[in-house]
Amino acid sequence: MKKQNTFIVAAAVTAAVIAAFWLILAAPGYTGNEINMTRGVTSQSVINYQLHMIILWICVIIGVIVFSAMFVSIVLHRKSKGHEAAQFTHSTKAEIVWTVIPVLILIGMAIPATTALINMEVAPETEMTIKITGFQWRWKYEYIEDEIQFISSLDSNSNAARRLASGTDPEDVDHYLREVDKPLVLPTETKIKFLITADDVIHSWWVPALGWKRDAVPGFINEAWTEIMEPGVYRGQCAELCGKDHGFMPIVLNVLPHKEYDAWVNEQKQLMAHEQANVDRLWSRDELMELGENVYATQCATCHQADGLGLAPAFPALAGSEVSKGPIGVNIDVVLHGRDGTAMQAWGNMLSETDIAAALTYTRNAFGNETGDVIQPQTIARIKNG
Amino acid sequence: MTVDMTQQDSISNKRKRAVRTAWVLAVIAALIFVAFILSGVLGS
Amino acid sequence: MSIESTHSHDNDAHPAAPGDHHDHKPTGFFNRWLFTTNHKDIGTLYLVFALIMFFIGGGMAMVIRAELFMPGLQLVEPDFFNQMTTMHALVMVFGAVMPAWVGFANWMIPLMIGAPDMALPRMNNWSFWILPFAFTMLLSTLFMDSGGPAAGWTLYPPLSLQGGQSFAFVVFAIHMMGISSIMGSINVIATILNMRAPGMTLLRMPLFVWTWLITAYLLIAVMPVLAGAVTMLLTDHFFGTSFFNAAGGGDPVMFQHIFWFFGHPEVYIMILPAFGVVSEIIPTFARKPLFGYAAMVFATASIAFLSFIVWAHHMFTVGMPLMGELFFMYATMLIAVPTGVKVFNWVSTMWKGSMTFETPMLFAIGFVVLFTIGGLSGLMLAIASVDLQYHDTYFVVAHFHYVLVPGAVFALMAGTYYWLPKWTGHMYSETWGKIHFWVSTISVNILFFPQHYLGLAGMPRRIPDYSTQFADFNMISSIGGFIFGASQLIFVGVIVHCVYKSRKAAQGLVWEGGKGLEWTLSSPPPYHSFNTPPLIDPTTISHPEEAH
Repeated sequence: MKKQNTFIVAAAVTAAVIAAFWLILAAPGYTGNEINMTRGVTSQSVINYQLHMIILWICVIIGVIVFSAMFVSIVLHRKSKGHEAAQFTHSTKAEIVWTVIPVLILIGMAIPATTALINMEVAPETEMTIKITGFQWRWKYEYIEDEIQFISSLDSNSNAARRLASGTDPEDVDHYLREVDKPLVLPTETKIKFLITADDVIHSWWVPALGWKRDAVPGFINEAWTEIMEPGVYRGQCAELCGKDHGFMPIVLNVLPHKEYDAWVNEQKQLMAHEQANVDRLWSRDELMELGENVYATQCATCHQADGLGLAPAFPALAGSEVSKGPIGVNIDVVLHGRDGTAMQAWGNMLSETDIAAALTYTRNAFGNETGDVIQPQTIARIKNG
Repeated sequence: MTVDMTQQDSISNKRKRAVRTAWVLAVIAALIFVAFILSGVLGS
Repeated sequence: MSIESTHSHDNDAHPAAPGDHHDHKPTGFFNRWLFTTNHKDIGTLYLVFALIMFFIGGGMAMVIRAELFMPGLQLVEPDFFNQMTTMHALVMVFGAVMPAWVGFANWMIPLMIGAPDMALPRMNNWSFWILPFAFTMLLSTLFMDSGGPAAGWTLYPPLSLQGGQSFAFVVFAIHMMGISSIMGSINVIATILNMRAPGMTLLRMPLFVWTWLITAYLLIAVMPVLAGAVTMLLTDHFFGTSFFNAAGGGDPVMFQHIFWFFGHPEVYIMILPAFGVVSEIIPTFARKPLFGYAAMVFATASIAFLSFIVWAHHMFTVGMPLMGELFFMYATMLIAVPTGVKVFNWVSTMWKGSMTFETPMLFAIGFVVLFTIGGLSGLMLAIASVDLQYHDTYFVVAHFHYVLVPGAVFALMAGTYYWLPKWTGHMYSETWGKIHFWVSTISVNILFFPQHYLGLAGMPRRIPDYSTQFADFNMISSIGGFIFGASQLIFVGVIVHCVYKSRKAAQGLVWEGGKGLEWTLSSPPPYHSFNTPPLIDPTTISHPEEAH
């Protein structure tokens, strides 16, 4: 095979590989990993999807025309074929043509792009408001009208599996890294306003099915809106680098029809009332130990182990530990705020005061620690609220 | 007149002008730096 | 001091008789390299430094791709992963691509405009020798207790302010890189404006010289802005100011505006000289003058101008007023016009040429095709509304790697193969050059093309671990990455062979279709060239007529 033919074959193979990639993009039957932008479930996401496809195809067509011209030239105008070089050097007409035509194409693109952006940014009259606050590394949701609020963090299965060399295959975890303990529950066909901010560093709240992301900036409140057309579970995650666990702060929306949503709101209100009553009353040591054993088993034992002996070197033992047997204040502080640079998280934002009090009482009396301390939910609430 | 002498002369002249260009550019760079710091000071 | 002054005497004031081709190379390793004021030696130093940094930054990319090979954390902790992504960018941008272009500028600009050396040879020495210290300092942070910078190369506060004591080293290193770049640019502008041979008018200059002139202006305009931004970070971190600290009344978004006012011109700083090199190579191998020379110069200047008014397209999600978003969207879309003009002119230069496909031409064609793909995805990203989906995903990662790797880096390789025979006096191995090209081109597409899909499907950037739905394309991308990384060893092999082993001598006119003053010199050129300004002969320069 002659050298020039090798070149053409190699170029054709490369071009074919690239073209095949682009074609897969358009093929509806592809069943592997998702490769295109989601259509989503809001008017904004659908408009963005359509705009994306229009611009994509314009780009593909421009690319095909330019590369074809180039490829024809590469095939025909070769020295090895004895093609003599023409010596033309410029053409003002040509420069004008290929300045004006792109400008027209751009204007054609700018019109739908402008309408889409206006639709995105100019919020209609909204019916409810959710305040979203980004923390390192979890989200806090506040339902302004219904006065419900909770923290949503990576669920415990993913959290255990994501540790370095955890030994768990992510394929065995349901919705690995895309599952939370408490999803944001929203009603369908309701115009919802989001107020988005952050507490520490910049985060970005992104659920692709809604069609947008918005940065959560400390000291600023950004607004966005949505109206979700179909019930379902929609997943996303933080999209702005926010520190070491940036990859581990997913967002899950559970979108319910109106009736079910109302029922959920009522349930939450009852739970909150119940929770408040729990914090307010005095607990006996046995009650706390019983609940604490439970909390410990579900939340703490992953790292500190059921027998409280931990897993050296990353996860220290609680049995006989200086913290668990030491001053109560230090112990509460570690549990509430976590320990920087270790896997110990700030549980103060994740568990209820009652659960924390119970877990502390348990760990200070189990595993042979026997301090005899009883820690009341009220104490935790007082410390937490400063 | 020998080509050699005039060329040599013009190169040293060129270098002199180049140094002047360089100082102007350096001052511009320094001013931009100061301006942006000031924009931060006044902005906050 | 005494060494330097005697040395500068050697360069500046030595009366060169016509035909004086004694080399006058300083003797001894330190004299030759540490105290050099010779543009060719400094160019070589820059290029070798850039190649070393390319492999250090590449090694970090390999760590990143290895961790992302499959879901779950197998190799590194998330914090170290973030240090890798941050350092990879800083090293590649400031350590590899920019110094490599300064190396080309040093070697080629005096040869192309008929100047004896750069205008300010001693400052030239200083510009280079700052860099190894800057990067030693930057890389040393990886071994400090508080670790390297982990907030991304954009250093957004408040996150970047959470870094430990090592942050001061990062800021100081960036200051030094900035000073080096500014001095290098001052030198380039002073040289081009003052040192041209008689008859080498501005509109007769090769396009590479034009693109570098414009690039140098960009650098002088924006490197001080970056210096200002990191200085404010430094005082926020260590001296209790609150420029960017919301709790103290500062504004974290203001940092982003300042950073991207630097950052967007910065990306053109990396690509404009690439346009220049490709505009030299394509006419040579098409044996046909560059089509639309004046339009190319004008398009380059337009791109440079527009680069100052598009910065906030990096910030569509921070919550700007609608009018601001519309302005930055339109301005960004407008960049497609001069960029398109360049691509069309390259294709027209090839059209009806008499082409051959030596390695530099292959890389130049690869550049045009793959840079255009990156440009088109850039046009998609300009659409503000859809950018609210694309932003901070792997789609963006794919986009800017297409314009930087098979864009800027391919142009650097094209330029290296193009001028390596001129620099060394030996021909490189054409076979191995072509193997390098094909393996690189195929693997770079396997590496970056699937990242478009990942981004569209919803994978954010800068995450060390991902949901299983992204597993397939990450694995493909990583395989492409490993092949691409390994194939760069071929590049080193070809260079080392060319410098030390190749027996095939290069002619003065290395390429049949080569035009320009550099080809009128021997290969390698004498240590001091053009001590007597050359006579401009219309048959030997690329753009003999004043362009219309």
